[in-house]
Amino acid sequence: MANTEVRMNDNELVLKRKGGGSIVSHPPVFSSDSEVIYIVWGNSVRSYSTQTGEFLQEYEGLTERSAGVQLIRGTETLATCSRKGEIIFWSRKSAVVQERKVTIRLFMPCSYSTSGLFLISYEFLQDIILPPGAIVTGFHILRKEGDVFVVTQNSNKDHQSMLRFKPDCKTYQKLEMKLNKQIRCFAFGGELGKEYLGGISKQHLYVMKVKEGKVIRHTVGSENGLVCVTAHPTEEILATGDHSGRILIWRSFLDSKQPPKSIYHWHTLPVSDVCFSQEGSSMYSGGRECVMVKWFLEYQEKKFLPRIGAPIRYVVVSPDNVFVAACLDDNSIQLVNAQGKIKRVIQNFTWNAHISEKLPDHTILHKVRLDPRTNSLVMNGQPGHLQFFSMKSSKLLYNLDVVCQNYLTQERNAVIYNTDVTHVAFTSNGNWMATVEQRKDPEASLEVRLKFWKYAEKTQNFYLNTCVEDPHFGEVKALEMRPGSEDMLAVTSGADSKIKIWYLFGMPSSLEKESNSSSRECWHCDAVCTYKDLPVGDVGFSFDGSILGAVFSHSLTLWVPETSDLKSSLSHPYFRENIRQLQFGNGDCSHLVVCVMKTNVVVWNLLSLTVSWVVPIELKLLAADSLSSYMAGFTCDRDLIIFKPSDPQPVYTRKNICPDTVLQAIFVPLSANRSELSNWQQKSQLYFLNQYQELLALENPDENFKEAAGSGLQGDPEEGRILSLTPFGRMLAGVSQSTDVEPIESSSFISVGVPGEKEIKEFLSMPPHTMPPLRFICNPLLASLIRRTRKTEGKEDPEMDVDEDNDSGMESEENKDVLEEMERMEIIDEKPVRKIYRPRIESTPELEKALSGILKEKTDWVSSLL
Amino acid sequence: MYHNSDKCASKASKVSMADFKPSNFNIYSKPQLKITEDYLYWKKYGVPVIFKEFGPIDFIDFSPVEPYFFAVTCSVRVQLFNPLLKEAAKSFSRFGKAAHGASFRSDGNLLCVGDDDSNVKLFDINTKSLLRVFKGHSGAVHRNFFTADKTHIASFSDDKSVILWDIPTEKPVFTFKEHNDYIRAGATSPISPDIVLSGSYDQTVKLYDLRLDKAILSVDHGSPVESVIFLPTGGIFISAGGSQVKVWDALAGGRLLAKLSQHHKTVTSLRVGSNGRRLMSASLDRHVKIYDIATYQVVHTLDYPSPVLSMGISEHDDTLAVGFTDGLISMSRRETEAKPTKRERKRAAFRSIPEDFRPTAVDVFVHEEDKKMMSKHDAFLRKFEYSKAVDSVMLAYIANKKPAIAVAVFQELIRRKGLHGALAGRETKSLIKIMRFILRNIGDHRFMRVLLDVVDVLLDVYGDSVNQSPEIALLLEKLMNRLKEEERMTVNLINLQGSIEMLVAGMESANHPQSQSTVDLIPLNESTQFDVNSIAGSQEMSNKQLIKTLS
Repeated sequence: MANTEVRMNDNELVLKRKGGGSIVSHPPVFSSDSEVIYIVWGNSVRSYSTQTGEFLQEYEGLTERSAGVQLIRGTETLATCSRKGEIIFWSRKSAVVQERKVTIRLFMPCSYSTSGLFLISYEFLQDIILPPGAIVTGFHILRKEGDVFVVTQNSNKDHQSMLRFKPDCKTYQKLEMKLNKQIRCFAFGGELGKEYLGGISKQHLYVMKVKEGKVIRHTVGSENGLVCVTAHPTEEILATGDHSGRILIWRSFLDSKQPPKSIYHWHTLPVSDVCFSQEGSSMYSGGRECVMVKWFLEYQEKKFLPRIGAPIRYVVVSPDNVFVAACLDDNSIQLVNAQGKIKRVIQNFTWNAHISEKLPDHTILHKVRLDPRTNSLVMNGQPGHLQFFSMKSSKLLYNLDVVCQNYLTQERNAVIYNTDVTHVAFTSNGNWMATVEQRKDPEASLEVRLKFWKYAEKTQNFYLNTCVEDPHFGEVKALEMRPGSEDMLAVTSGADSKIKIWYLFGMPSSLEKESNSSSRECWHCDAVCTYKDLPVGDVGFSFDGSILGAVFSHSLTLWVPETSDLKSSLSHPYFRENIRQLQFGNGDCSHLVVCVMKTNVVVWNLLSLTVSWVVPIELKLLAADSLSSYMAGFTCDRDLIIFKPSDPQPVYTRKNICPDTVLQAIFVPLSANRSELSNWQQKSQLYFLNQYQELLALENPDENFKEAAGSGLQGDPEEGRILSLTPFGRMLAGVSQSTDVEPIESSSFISVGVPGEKEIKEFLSMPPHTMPPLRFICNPLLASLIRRTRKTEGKEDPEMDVDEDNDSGMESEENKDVLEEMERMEIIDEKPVRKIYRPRIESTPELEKALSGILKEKTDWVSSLL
Repeated sequence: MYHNSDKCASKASKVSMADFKPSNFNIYSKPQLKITEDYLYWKKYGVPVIFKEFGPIDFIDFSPVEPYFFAVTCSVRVQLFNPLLKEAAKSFSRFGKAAHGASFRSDGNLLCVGDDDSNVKLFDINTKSLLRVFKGHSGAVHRNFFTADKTHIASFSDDKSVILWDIPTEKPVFTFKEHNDYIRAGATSPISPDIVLSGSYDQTVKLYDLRLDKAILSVDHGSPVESVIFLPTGGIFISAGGSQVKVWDALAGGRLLAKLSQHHKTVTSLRVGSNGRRLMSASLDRHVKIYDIATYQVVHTLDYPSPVLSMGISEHDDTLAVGFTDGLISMSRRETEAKPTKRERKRAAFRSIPEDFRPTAVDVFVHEEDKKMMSKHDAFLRKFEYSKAVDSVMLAYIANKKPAIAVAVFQELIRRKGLHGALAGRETKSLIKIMRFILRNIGDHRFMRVLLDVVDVLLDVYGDSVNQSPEIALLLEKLMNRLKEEERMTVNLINLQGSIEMLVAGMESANHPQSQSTVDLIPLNESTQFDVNSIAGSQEMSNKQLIKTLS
């Protein structure tokens, strides 16, 4: 059976991370000329230009997650160490692996004693053995061919230890330090040859002259533990931040027993990180207050950069003092210039601080949506924002400020609740967006706001149109906008057991006349519906928008949206659990409604008003594909089930799809049909978001998807042309390349999609009596055809000939009326379309990518040719 | 509910992250007036010029020719005002008793005036000479108009008769005595010289065709008719009387086209403005309403300080004159001249830089910051000075005139958990200020939720020390009574809502007997529903709790 074949195929699918992943897990490193910043990203290191904020290249080779990155002093060598202790050196410019060293290898086989820890098998394996669960969390390499310091963490101990390896990585010495479990628990400073090491535990500061190797311990008098330490690159200064928000500056700590220290106290929350400027005259610090403080050490003065967006994790100053990089909790790196202005933002996938902070009542979007305009995922970003994340380029498009309020940081004695977006919905054309925001504070009354945003073509931006304070009494349970292009209609359901229907009134007006047009459009509540005073739950529209479904407790009610008439109410005597989620079928299943109950999934047939089937299964999430009739359900046991509403038998199941909790799931339409995949994957790709805010997808293992913004380095890497790698630079590079390199045969690629399809459709769908004169239509129509013939010529000559035969054959019967001519045009159009369509099917992902790029090219010039 | 297009809409990319977002008080302010084209059009009238006359202003009529003088009939004289010079130009005072209804001929050369001596007098405007006196009525003549052929005058008198006079011969041509009461309103057709309309206190409006020598149409207005008017097409006439304005189709035999009940007192005057596209009605309720002729919907309302008795509007709506019962005339002109545009202020930072300055490579160019204006309370909020923020919005101007701002600041402090600190440690005087503010505004449904939270915090902070100040205790007691009253009102409103719902449901089921009776669909007007809901359901419980705490 075809079905089983598909399943066999499906079983090969592997889980892949498509977006997300922390870029702020470790502090970044600037290059010595401050033009490039290196960022740890999972198993690799990525470089970004500080001038443009663009991604430059990726340094790969580690098999494990990286534990930091370092630019070795005085060299052009980039070093990183994996969590398992493997060290890799790259050439900074070429990203070529220069050398690999292994310091520690995890103790794997169980035949070895786990009690012996570091010593026993060293001679045998030439490796240092760590107990299971231990990882490397930090490292430092003194200089090329210098000593290597490695911080290891053992999961069953509350402190970390530091090991000092000889340059050959064969012998080592364990330092007398019990370090904190933070990334910033140690720091190296001092001039070349006079290096020193500082490390912190809760109550102690350890310092060591690297040459002498003798650890001195200074005790901090305060009750509050130290949380971070930093050292000056050349001078003998150490700065430690503590839990109470104080920063201590230590001097002459290497020789004296009672080193002098000065106290700088502004932070109210623990200090996350401190960093010295290159001269040591000032320092930067940051914490959870979202304020970056610049301290002038001599004058005891300070400057602030407030409201930086999210709590600060790390602060790093560039070697020329021009930039300060602040790593934020929302997974972004902000490059701040000397004037205290944010110049560049390096951001991948915005994390919602509420999810990462794990606040008790954090609110997240009930449903992730797809922006129909950009085909981007819309989900929570920074608090109070929505992020638009493009799936095509795996890039963050923008964060839209929805609540328009200042982000309130946490305070020491109080839990602060920020307003956040709980619902979002779009109309099918993407012209309107509705959002619901909510602030739920047990100590104050609930704040709920319903907002309608209009998309302005001119500025490519959403503008607030209508804001409704407290649309329902209590929380809003669901928000939907009617699909289809008819008049605008939105539905909300609330905790007050009511559903409200919102209409757009007034005539659309051009933006510049917005303020004084006679009937400015805005949204009004048109009707309020209740049903037997039952608590209302999810609402949903059928895919054509003709029926509104609303869940009242265990009954599914169907309404006519325009008149808000109750059509029917469906409830089954045996299944009287509350319906948690409601989903109308699509395509050939558009007469079916899937109702997710606590322990059952019930599917109703809207034509016969009967139950089609019931499956006792606990679904946690349900997502429907907008292009096909497939639906995806996630059970509480993290199993994935793909099914069609018409058939209780699942199409595809996968046990325990990922070890983490799945928060949200959505089908994202593919840019092109992919018939080589199994049915349910052909039109859309299923993405889901786990609790670590990583975007995951099931894919064929052979698809090597690269999440990259640019195509990497071109030209001779050693010539230092890295910074020309902006899109414009690449374009220029492409031009110069094409002079001596055989140009790529792009002509056969251009025809992704069906060329001229739109024009022909337009041509055919118009009733003849409403058609403009032929001379008006002719030009664009021909233009679309000509463009395609140009592309196909050369490569596919024989088939073209066939076409021309057709053409001439038709032309002989010339004196036919217009309608026939139209038909003929259709015939002519169809054939080449199919012809070009086929090769694309065999295309590889790389090709597809190239094609989609080409597709975006302008074709205006064609019309000028005519 | 408020509508706001751009005040707080922004994309993160535009507003820099580090910008302080000002507190948004729009959500607590009253719904904005809907700005329509008509609103802007009628708003263009400048500051009115007020003329004082003796006695109520009986009638105002604009000359149909430039420079659009208007004749004001008041007491024993008729005055012609120049709308451009804004002063009286001419005066006709040859009346023994009160004059009435001075109206211009369509060429603007002649003026006919009725008076209490039962005469109709005809004046030449330029020479101010009395040309004719038409005698024949036996009662005061309140209205008289020239017919469309310019050679006749129709007069409407308290002797219940309508007489058509021939100007050259000074003789009555037709006399109609078909009314049973005073005739105080009349009109002549703008297109046909043979059609005359009269409205009487016997509540009827009659249409006469001179060719048939009788009333061809009689419609019942339902209350004494104060004013009648033809639309410029002549096929539709409008009558005003009582608080209603009715629109009649003359060609369809007097079919009632529309009934406009926008006033709550007697409508005294009707006019057609905007070259026949707008209907205006003036009333003793001190409003002038402007309707769209196409839809008969009110598009704008003008408010005046005293009851309006008469009204006139010039061609192109340039000048609007309104006469009141207390003898005042308000004349306003549309401002057309463009205001001189402000010269752009030169950036302060560049003033000292020579014009030809070009930065070189070694110059670090520091861009000037755009300093944003920030209100005081926002500045305090930005600096975390919560007590000062509260003080700044408790100043008399904001607290009294713009309570929405104060409430927004309270809300922001609640969000920041800073309200306890901001309210603590206050002296009795400033505490009284806050209490009074709460007392004054807690009944407003926009503010109620926030202010209840504020009261909660106040009681938390000062609950134990209430008895130390008798004033505070008194205010708290007042507050308790206020809340009790609110609660009672809430219950009443819920009752009312219940009865309305019942009526609506009954109507629904009567209209659609086939529809299921279980559906209780309430297509309530959004605003009423919102009000009732927010006042009713939401606060009842918390009110109760508060009252408990207070007592």
